[in-house]
Amino acid sequence: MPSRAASSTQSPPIPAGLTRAQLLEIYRYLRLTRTLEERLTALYRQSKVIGGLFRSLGQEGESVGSAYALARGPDPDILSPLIRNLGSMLVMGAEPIAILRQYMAKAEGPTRGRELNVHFNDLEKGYLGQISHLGDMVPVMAGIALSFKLRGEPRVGLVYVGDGATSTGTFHEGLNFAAVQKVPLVVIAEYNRWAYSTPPEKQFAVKDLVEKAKGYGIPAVTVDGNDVLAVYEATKLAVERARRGHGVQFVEVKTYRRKGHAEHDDQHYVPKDELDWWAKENDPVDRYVKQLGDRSGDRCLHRRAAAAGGICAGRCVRRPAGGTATLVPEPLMADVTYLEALRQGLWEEMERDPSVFILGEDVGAYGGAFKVTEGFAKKFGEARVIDTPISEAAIVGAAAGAAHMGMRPVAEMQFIDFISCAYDMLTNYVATARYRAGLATPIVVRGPCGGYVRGGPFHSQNPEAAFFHTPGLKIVYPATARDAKGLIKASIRDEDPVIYLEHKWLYRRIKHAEHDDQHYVPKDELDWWAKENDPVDRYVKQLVQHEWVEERELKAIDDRVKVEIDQATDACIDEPLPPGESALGGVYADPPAVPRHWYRSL
Amino acid sequence: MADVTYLEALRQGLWEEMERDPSVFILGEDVGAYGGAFKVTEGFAKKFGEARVIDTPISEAAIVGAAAGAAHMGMRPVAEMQFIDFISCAYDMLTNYVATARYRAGLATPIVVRGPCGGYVRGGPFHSQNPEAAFFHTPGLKIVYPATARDAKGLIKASIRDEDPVIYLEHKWLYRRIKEALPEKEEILTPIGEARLAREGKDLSIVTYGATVWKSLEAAEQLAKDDGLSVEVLDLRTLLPMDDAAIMRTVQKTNKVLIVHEDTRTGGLAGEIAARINEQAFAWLDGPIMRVTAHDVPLPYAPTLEDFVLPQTDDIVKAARWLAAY
Repeated sequence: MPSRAASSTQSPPIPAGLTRAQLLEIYRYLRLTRTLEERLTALYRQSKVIGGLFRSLGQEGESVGSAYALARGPDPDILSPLIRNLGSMLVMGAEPIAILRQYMAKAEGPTRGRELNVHFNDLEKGYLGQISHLGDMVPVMAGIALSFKLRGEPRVGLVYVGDGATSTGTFHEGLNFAAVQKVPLVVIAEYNRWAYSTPPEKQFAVKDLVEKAKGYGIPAVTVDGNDVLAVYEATKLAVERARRGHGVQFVEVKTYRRKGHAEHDDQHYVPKDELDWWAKENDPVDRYVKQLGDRSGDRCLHRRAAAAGGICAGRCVRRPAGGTATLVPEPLMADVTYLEALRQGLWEEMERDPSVFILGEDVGAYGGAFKVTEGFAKKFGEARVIDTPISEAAIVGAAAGAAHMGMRPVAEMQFIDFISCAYDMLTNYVATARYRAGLATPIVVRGPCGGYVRGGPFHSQNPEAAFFHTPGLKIVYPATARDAKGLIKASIRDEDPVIYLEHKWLYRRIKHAEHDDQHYVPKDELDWWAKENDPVDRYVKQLVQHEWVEERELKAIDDRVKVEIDQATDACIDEPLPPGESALGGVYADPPAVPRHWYRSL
Repeated sequence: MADVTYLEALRQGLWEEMERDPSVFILGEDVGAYGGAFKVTEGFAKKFGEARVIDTPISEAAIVGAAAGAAHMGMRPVAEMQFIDFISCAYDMLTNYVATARYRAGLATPIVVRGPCGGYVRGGPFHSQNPEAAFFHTPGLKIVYPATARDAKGLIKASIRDEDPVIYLEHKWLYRRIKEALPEKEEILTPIGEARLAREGKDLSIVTYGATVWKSLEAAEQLAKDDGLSVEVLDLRTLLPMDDAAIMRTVQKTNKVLIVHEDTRTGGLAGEIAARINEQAFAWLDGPIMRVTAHDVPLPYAPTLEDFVLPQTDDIVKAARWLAAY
């Protein structure tokens, strides 16, 4: 059992910077967390809690210890908790009554009964509620941190992820995005041994979660998650590094989930003695108390925390809703293409409002795949025209986070077909944010859509039907240059998320499309790779140098290849295209033969 | 004949297919040792081994993508989404890769993606979704949605044997709520693409699927008792491809149609069904095609809110009365 115990940094006897009062305050939060959850459990058994109940028993230490390292008060740091981080929310100032109301779906609750358990937020206090789709909060919190960076605010974001959530795409995409942007974000990765019923061995092949962070160039440490002060110290260090501009920091906390996934889960898959060991030998609260060595003080605090839980439970009762607004486009003066009109609209909004910024793939130096943002980076700077990694989920998630903080992000999808990679983020996180959590998310997601351009199945899509069904989104689709400009401006000023579809067939019907002239690549760099580091040249040189083959043999192969390709080209160049009707069926009517012999042994 | 629940019927269907065909295997989160979040695959790992009942990391995209790859090579994977709400994380994989594989590349991809869907269970916005509208628009997918225990079994077996990717939606509110006597010896296979007449009537038709089949049947019963109305209820069972012929038959019989679904209204399937009736049976209509659906919001958590947002028997009764009097 003790083999499960974490590798750790040693906690010093009196941790730097903490006063006695603070030590006690930490204890209060630990106790408050545990007591509140015990109360919730009782309410659950009385059927007062609606739906499931999730406990953080055994993990209170890392929740409280990490959150305590953040700045609270006016303009606080912002954290995004998971289901087992109730303690972190309490530290930031969430009131027990709000939690109880949430769990009992009360009208007076922070989401007025729309959302459940710890899924709620208070940005003034410094927490942003999660959604159920694991990993999604990583890009969103990267966006929150990005807003701090863009505005030069000395604030930090902190996001919790469980060991299971580190398997999701959004975790990786968000982490990479944040690392590249060097945003002030701290990731607390909770190695708590169980993702529902799945142990780490079935979740990932690395031993420690820090190894995942290293793959993204992120400094990472592992701490004993049940040592409250060690977690505090490691997080404090990470937070201050992030605050000083050192980018994303990753703290892995080794801990243990002592209850089932939710109260209904009987944990039959967990070895009984393992549970016992963690309860008896490695309880974070017990350990903390032992460390403090002040038993009289802790009893007093215990009573106070328990009383707080009791008062709140009796006080939950009822209330209802919210609204939106839009704007009218400005008139257009000159005779311009659809693309140029869109560009003008974006430009004017960037000039008008410093909270508007653009993010997307190749939007900066290159000016966008279709040159919609050409010249923007030069005029407005790289901070406001951000070249991102290839991750639509991270782009949209980060835009959402920044929008929560008052920014007006315009996210470009290089081709709108790739908006499918942000489908979860858009439909579950962005679209529901206002209804679910009262969060304004004024983002624009725009990109070239549509066919008639020989783009094939993945560069020609019209995605409106996929999003039309989702309450909470707006979709605009200009057909004229005037509307291309008017609608992009109105979309940016809208208080809600808008998907702006721009038809690439309309972009420059009166002009030729430009090609990639590689102007963004230094000319000498291209030359060097061509002249000095061509793989075929190098291979040939090797062969000849070692006298393994003769040059004329290579030449003969060159000639044969050329003939072969010529012949193949000749054979197909004049072949007809498939008849239009075949688009509707017949071509692949029968499934191709599949080898069925080899799996007989299964 | 033994009474089995909807969940047990689904389980039996999976079990029988696993026994019948060694190329069938299951993959998903917590499907093995734990037996699935709702215990649909309880006992499977013990019987069929961990190699065929695979506990995966939390990644719907990886689960669906890996299923597709195995299917290309002749396997018959059944991928479980722990809650169907998380199928959104595999949206790109399903709509761009899986759905287009046969048309685009001539690749057979006989996978089943199944999972618990639907509300009426206080699950909140992320454990109550009905995702059919998100996929209904995508050519290349099939979608089935059983409302009865018999079809839960018959459709999972048919889905596994189908040559194309099938999204199998199972309503968690029905899991243990409905029971039905199923023959033990007979093999139950429900053909994909065929609707089921759940109740015969002559005054008005309700076209529906999933949990609202039962709400509609309740409404029909009440309308017969209180108003003397004879209401026909058509359970679509397969959403894609849709059984247009069955829809038009009932339209031609009663001349009035009410479409009921649990999913939200705008861009929901009811709009598509109405358009098809308009195109194929306009002349047979004696009244406007009406819809009873959820309101256009994420599904809220509080019982009062959820009850208001989701279509209830009373809503169906009211709409049917209005339409009958038209």
